[in-house]
Amino acid sequence: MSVFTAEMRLSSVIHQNYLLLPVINRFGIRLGFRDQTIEQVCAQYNINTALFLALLNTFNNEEYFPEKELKTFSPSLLVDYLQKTHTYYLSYLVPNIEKLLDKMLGTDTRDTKLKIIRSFYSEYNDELLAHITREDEKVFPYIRALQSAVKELQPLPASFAGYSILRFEKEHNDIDEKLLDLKNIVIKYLEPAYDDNDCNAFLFALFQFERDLQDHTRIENKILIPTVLELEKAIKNG
Amino acid sequence: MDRKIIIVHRSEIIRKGLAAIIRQRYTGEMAVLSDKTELEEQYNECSDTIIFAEQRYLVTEDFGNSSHNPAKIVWIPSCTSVSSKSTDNSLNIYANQDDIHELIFKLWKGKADENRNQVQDLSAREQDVLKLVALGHSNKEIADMLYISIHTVISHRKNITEKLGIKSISGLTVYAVLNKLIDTDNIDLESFV
Repeated sequence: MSVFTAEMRLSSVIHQNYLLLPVINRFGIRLGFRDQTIEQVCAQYNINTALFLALLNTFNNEEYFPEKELKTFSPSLLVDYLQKTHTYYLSYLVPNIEKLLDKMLGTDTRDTKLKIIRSFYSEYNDELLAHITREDEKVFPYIRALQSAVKELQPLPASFAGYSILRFEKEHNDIDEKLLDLKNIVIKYLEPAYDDNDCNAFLFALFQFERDLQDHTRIENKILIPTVLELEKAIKNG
Repeated sequence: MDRKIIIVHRSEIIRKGLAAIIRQRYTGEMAVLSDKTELEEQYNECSDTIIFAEQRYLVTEDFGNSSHNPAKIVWIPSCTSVSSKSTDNSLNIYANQDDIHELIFKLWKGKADENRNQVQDLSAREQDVLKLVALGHSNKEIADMLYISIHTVISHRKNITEKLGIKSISGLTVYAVLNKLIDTDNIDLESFV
């Protein structure tokens, strides 16, 4: 798999992997960029080209994960990207999956089997939303505050006292687990009363979400959390 | 599961005639016996067996006590008895070859349907453990209820997860309900998961 570079045309990147479309959206990039190179598009939108390429390549290629380089980026830039990703999940991807699931299960609420799949999904959905909201409302502001505190050599605001980032890694695991369970339940154990195409549409959306979520979680676990731990150490040491 | 057909009848004409008809469509293992004493060595519990047995010459007791995988018995009237309609467990000797093929097909199809409804993914013990996990019991409670050690319970749970690809308790619960391991009439499904 090739690594994207700044002189490549953005259009050819999309041709190579259309799943990157939501990723470029997170930087505010809209289609119609003609034959411009990545360098040119980033200049036009005032985007950090190195960060853009790093995130693009990380998403595109599982083997590509330059930890050292990624840790050099300002945490608040990463947080911006992750927060935009959350918006994508909450306002589009997740509601879409739910809609497709309901379409697939049909409106016959008497069928207990289908009801239980719906219940399981609802529980997963609640856990996911709670986790994402916690990140948006607590974790990300904490990281921004931490970064500026270290930069300005100021103490951390009192509201964040005693906070630590490590709890979030565990939550990621629980949520991944349930998503995999859902996939297996539908693929391996679903019973005949469903429509093929509706079910496929649901599974496609689920697989796409899973892929995006894996990339997202990898960045959070492997880059953000270690970087924040460093910042936490810096603050502790004065 | 391998399939096997055994014919036991004292009349050579009936034995060979029936065998020839069956052979037109069936290519699996077949044993043609004139003497019921040979039955024991031919009857193998590892296969799905249909036995065409001469009525009055053999009786149900001759087939041993295999509750695990009992053979399907089709009674052939002995030459002196009155012929009757073919049912699922008796053969009318005036039946034509299509009737016979259809009978065999029906007997084995029934077996296949039975199997499909069983939960073959898991062993019986694993199913026991899964049921209790889905009902919300702790490992300790499950160990006590099944008279096994906690270590064994954990081991079963690991195997269950590996076989099914489902890890979370609510996921396992969904599986248990979908596969009828849990009686859904008495529970409220919405809060159950």
